[in-house]
Amino acid sequence: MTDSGDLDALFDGKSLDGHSIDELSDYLDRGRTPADPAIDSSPGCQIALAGLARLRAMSETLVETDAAAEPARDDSWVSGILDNIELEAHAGRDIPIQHSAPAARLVITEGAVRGLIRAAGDSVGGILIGRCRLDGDVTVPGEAIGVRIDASVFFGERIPEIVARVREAIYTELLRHTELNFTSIDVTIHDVHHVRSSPEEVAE
Amino acid sequence: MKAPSERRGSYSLDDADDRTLAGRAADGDVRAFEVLVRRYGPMMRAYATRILGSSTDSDDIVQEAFIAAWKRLPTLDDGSVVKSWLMRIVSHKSIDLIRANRTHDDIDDHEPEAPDEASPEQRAVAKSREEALSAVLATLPAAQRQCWVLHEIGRYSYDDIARELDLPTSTVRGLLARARKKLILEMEDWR
Amino acid sequence: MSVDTGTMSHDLTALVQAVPGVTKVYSSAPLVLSLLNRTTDLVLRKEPTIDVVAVTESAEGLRIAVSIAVDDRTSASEACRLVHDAIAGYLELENAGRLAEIAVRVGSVG
Repeated sequence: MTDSGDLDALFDGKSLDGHSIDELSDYLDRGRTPADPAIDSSPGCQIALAGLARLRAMSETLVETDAAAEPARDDSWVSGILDNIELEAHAGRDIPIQHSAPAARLVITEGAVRGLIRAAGDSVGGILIGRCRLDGDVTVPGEAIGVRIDASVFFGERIPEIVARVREAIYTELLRHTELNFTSIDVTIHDVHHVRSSPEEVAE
Repeated sequence: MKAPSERRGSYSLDDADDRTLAGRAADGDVRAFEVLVRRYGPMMRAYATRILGSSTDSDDIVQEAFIAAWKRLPTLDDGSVVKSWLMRIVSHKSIDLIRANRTHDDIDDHEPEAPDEASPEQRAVAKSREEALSAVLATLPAAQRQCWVLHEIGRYSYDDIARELDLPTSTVRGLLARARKKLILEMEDWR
Repeated sequence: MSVDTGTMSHDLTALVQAVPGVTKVYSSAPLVLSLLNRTTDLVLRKEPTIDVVAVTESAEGLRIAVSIAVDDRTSASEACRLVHDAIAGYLELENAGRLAEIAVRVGSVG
């Protein structure tokens, strides 16, 4: 507890060796750099800075506490959002499908191909495909196309092995469904996902 | 010891890291986007409520924020920062609403009538300092509260707040100073 | 020669839905998920009150446009060609006249 006499002294600067609370707040905003020896050596300022830092830390966790205290949202709240997103937003480029009829304009969207790649990669198990990019001009038949995939694997999986299986699965599906000329499939593992695992499980 | 293959089926989207989910959603995976909505929706709603000072419009704001996020996700290069990116969008949407509804009164810095929840008795029984902070925040004039939340929670600079709220930086500085003073004076055990 | 584009759109929507491998038929115009689901329900109940195959007449002739989702069992390219051929066969039977374009777009697989 503080009594208001002490606090008044804070704001008129008497207990802060001539510094103001706002000055100290700015100092905190700057990460206390460059170091100000006058502030750092003042016991009054140090107490005030500690209080400001606590207040800031508390503010930062406030919304997380608010969120945790909220009753779980029902599914209608989620579907209210999902029902209103534009599916075409991520369709990407149109990839041609050949047909002998002159009036035929057949395409598969880049979004559909990325969906295929995700499904094929995920089906291997122990890995989740993330962002996926098709390099090269997919709108021109026969162009060399490279696939770049970002993925995360489950803790304990042997990465070279799983990457080989994923590349194989994706290549098979792409050949089956599309007419693109895939020349490379690069897989980057950005994260190893840890869930209730003990260290010896990787030591194989 | 379990062979990794025994757990393979258990690596679901719900467990996925933010970068994986943001990447998939950017590529059009609605399921991955749904996991992000469930993971960060409540926090975004709480943040909007803190900025706006009431939960009346929070659901609409969060819905708008997610719809905008879905469109803009392909431009997010580093999916691992999707949480702070979403929080930025929700604060922008909240600020848009504040600007749209703003009357001259709101910029005036008068104290609102003290709400019941901030009475000294109730502050005294507040179970945590966070509850006390929450109660004091509720007593701040709207403009002070907005500046405080954007600065302390959203990490907006004074200039960012000034630009977003269309106020002079000196006004923002003054509002924040008064908010800070009030919070320090009212937070009983801040020292 | 003028054609009844409304009837044609109605017939083609049902026809495309019946092509093996096709799971959804939707408009090529931008749409939101709720509309897609509503459309699918109607199509699956075999009473498509929303005709999603676009049929328009232009100076160059008739233009047909549709988007589809296909299942994972058939090749997406093959299903797409089958849809085109079903539409082309219908137009020939109906004596629909000059044809400018049949546009079929696979928007989703699996």
